[in-house]
Amino acid sequence: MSSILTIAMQEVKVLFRERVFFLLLSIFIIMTLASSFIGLIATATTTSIYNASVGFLQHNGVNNIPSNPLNALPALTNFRNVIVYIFLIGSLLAIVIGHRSFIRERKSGVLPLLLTRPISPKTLFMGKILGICMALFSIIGITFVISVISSLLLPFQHLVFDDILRLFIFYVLSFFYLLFFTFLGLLFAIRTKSESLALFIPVCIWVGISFVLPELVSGQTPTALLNPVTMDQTAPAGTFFALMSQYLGPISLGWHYTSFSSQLLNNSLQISYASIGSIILANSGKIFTLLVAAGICLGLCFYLIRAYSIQEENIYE
Amino acid sequence: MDKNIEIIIETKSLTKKYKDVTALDNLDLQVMQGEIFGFLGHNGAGKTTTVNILTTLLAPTSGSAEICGFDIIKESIEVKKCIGYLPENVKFYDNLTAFENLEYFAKLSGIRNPREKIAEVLEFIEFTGIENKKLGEFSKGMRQRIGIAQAIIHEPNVLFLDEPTSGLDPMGIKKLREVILKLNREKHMTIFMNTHLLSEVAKVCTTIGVLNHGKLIYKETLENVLKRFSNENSLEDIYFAIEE
Repeated sequence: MSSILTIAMQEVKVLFRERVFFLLLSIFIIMTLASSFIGLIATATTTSIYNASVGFLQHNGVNNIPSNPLNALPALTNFRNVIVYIFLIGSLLAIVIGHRSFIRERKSGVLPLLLTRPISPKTLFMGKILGICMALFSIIGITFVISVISSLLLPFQHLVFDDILRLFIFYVLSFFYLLFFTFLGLLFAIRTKSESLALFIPVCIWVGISFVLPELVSGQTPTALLNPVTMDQTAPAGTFFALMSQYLGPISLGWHYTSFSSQLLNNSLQISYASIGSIILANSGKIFTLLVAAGICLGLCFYLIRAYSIQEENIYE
Repeated sequence: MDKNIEIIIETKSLTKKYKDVTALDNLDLQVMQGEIFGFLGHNGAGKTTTVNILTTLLAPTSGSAEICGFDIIKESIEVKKCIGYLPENVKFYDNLTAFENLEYFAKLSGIRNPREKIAEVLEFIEFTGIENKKLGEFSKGMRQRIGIAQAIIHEPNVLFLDEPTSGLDPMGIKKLREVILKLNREKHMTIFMNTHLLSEVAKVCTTIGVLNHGKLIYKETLENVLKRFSNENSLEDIYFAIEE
């Protein structure tokens, strides 16, 4: 166990000192931080328009004016953009983490030195997996803390306990969603000899999962898929979308993630929204699919690494 | 490691095939405890394949091998505890310091107090004051010495060196040679060294083996080699005489 932990800690240490990873991580954290500001600015802009309209109407003798609907919305709606950033930048970052984890050892030539230590290849791989999970967990943890702190610092955005719990569940789900992409990056890094191809294939799959499948299932345009308010809309009526939804719906991971997250963070801007329990219950199939997908990728990685240790040509190339 | 043995490396009909190519052909070899064994052979003779099998990195196609009395396949973890390995082009994590790299290898070798051990090893190879420098800034010679440090940090019984002087300048070669001799004399390590440089063999090795097309064609102590080929002018001439 101590060897696995040593390898895991080394994985985290080396990863956090890599420029590419650090750059992507910085972008991701800045965007997460920006999401609450963007939410705040959007709310402030709409409120100022409302106030100007109220002033105009009152000046013209209209007194029966409804109250500002934004005031009734929960503060959590200001965080809706986070979904888009995790959906886009987070998943790319996750692919890079998985990819680098294996390519680094192969490219640097450290692998033979590691394999002559009194550890088995399985221990080495398990340590790396644990390290990847720790790195991803710390990234998600940082963004969660940033979200909560920014809500405390900014006006109009004070989260209540229920909101923080929703945000927490959202980040837990995001962790598993990103884990899938991390394992995908790792899988092709092990399987493919060419470094560029090992990155290109998971990115192609990412495009399919993030855009192609959700478009086929929901009938939305790519821009609508990136709009936090419209990303969870139901598919238009018709045989094509009914068939797509039936056959491709279950494997549309991006769609599952955005759909569940949108409901959880109240992206549809409803004043009264469903409880956490009922949302989880209604989306249990989607959660299960995400977990199974990550599990399948991990299982394939283990299978390949088992074969890899006896594929001597790869070690010495 | 507890087994009281004199033969520290023993291979029996060790064979390795890569598809249709036989890299190693029924190698029967014995290396005694405390020897500095020079493994000679031209490019592609099978020297690196032999080292890779003995260091458990490669599985042989057939045959068996024991190091410190442990089977390289069935008792690979015990074998790994007993060996140190320095590959031809040793690589590390360039964005980590020398200390961080050595600490990682020390921990993987089960050393409980790496800090003390690293200081001790660097002192032994006379390479101190570089602990906090990143490996990316190191020259080939400096890397090679860190490579030696990682290979001996757990005080192995056998040290495998694959072309250790490759790419080093004369000063680097001299320093490395001194370290090898010191390890053998003071730590009583058995050294198994793949090399092309016959001059190095003459200065360092106690026994030589010559590999040709995967077959061991000659093995003798250096003393006896020099006696037997006393009419040859240089070790190079002796090598060609053996190969013929």
